[in-house]
Amino acid sequence: MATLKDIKLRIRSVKSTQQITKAMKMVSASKMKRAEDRIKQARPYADKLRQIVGNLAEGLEQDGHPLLAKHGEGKTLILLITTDRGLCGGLNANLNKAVNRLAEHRTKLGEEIEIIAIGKKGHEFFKKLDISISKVVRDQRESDTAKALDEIMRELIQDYEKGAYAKLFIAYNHFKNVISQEQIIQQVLPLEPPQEETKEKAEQMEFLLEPGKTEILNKILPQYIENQAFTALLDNFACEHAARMTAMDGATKNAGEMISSLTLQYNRARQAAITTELTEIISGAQSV
Amino acid sequence: MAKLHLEIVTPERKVLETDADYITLPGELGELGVLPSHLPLLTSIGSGVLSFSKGGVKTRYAWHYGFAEVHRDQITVLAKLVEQGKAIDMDRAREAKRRAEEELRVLDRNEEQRQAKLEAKLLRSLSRIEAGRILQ
Repeated sequence: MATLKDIKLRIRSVKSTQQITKAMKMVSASKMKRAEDRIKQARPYADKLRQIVGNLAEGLEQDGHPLLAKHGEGKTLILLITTDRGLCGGLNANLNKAVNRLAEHRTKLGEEIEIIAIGKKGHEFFKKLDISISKVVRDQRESDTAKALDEIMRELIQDYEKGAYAKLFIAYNHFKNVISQEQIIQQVLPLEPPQEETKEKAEQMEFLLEPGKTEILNKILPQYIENQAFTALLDNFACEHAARMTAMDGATKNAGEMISSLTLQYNRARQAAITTELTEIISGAQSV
Repeated sequence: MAKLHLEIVTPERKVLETDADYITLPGELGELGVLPSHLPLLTSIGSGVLSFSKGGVKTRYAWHYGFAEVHRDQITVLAKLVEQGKAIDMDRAREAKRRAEEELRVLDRNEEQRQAKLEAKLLRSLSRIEAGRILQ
């Protein structure tokens, strides 16, 4: 049986772990708040852009713009957004698995899959598998990641216009609320024009377009796609912190339970030691 | 008189939401003024100065690449980058302009991509200077 000292040491170590998890939880909580605010602030831009693209692209034929055109055969790219750091529960693992399922399914259908890994966790997972990874962005600050992503999206859009690949998906975690995140794998290219609500449609009028429809589409569609990736990234940041907060909250609670059961054990052992000592003294006294 | 309602948003945040009497936009085909009851309009915009006046006070923004939508006296401006004229560091802007010009001068003819990039840079610094100028 563990000695008193052993148990005491154990309790102390669990306590210090608990302090760390508690601190991490609080840090994540404040980071999550900030990430959530950023999403909220980015929303007006994304909404407006979607509305404009929806209005513009309506009634537009598939061949109306290179980004709307379907290429048929060709590679499928998956832009996988994960976190750089762990300790956030099953957030990355779930997303990686979902992407892997999709990749396997598509490979069976004879498509070639390529992954673009944003974030270390996704890169690490797919490195071990038999799937090619064309680009990696990892271990960067959040703002630098956003910049790198911007650059990558620009290249991807150009490549698509040249016909270098057939489809582009974005995989990320969507922030539903603090306790639930949802894995999303969304097709970005070829672009499917967003469907506008009927209410908006009724208000819609003929817009004067300057310089012309094609020129505006040429500018706004890439912008729209880049923005989708950008919001996905923001979404994933918020998820990361939310998931970490929940995970650390759980860890803190578990540590608390462990401490109380260890304390109980400690007290029992202490009581047993006292009893043994007493019996020894009494039996010693009797024998004299 | 009816008022225009102006909203400036960037990918990061909503920069400004205000009423205005008159707005000028740096449209791609040239400067463009908007008064209340303007026709619905959607335009793409290069680099330049956006200004609006409200009760006789003029405010200027340096503005780089985006779109403007005019719809029922509601103007929404989407821009990748917006800076308020007052907040612009003129020395830095001038310095950037000088550097861009310098690099353009020594540039090889066949480096098209780089040239485009530098020209964009130069334009950016020019609109910055323009936006910051009058208020100083």
